[in-house]
Amino acid sequence: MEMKVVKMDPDLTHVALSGKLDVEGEEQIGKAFEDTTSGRKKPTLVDMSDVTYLASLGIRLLFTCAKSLAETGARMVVLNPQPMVEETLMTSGTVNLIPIAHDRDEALRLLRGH
Amino acid sequence: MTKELLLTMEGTRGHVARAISQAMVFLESHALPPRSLYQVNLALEEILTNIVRHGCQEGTTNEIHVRVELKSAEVIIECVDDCCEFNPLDAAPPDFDSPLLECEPGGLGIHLVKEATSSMEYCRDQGRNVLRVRVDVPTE
Repeated sequence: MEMKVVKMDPDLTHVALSGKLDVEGEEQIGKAFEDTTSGRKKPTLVDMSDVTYLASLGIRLLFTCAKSLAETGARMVVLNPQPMVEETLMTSGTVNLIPIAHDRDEALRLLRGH
Repeated sequence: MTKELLLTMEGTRGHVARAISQAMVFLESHALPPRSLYQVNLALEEILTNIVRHGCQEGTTNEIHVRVELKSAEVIIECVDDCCEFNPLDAAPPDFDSPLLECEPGGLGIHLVKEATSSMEYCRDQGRNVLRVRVDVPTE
């Protein structure tokens, strides 16, 4: 699992994840993901278009950071997950807490609360 | 025709990854469709991670026996462990209906197993937990 910081500005944190977000993946990027997302307290866009697999530890990581962001009034949105990953986000109920967008414009609208 | 993989692993995190890898290699060699592979991977990871995190005791070498059986229209996963008694069917589902600030993610792994599989059976037998789940394999 790899994490790339796409953008960090005063209004937005945009990261891109790639690979498997399983037990090992969460160990590899968990700390950096937390520091970059909930640590910055900005609206956060998580591009998951290159994430091939998502397990509960990965969902827990997203959830924990989203919850921490929510405490400061900021949102997290997941961008363009692959079909099986999206299905996992839907069936787990995560989508009720962390919206899914399929393009950047939609993601930015969701982050602004529209 | 039935095909089967049998594994015995220690109840540690490192062995979970190895067991999953072996199971995936076995199933990929039998041309399991990608969706079914994903579901088996997810179910096996969540089951084994749950056993290691919540069932295995520190300082004790717990053993987990894994059987992956490939039938014509389903994969059967059976995990037998000698850890403390735990019936995953009794676990409460995660509460993601409450507002984000009130939610807790407990029970998520078992919930994912239930969603990825067509059935889940548990029994306690001679001091061991026996969990069996089935993943459907679409037939063309």
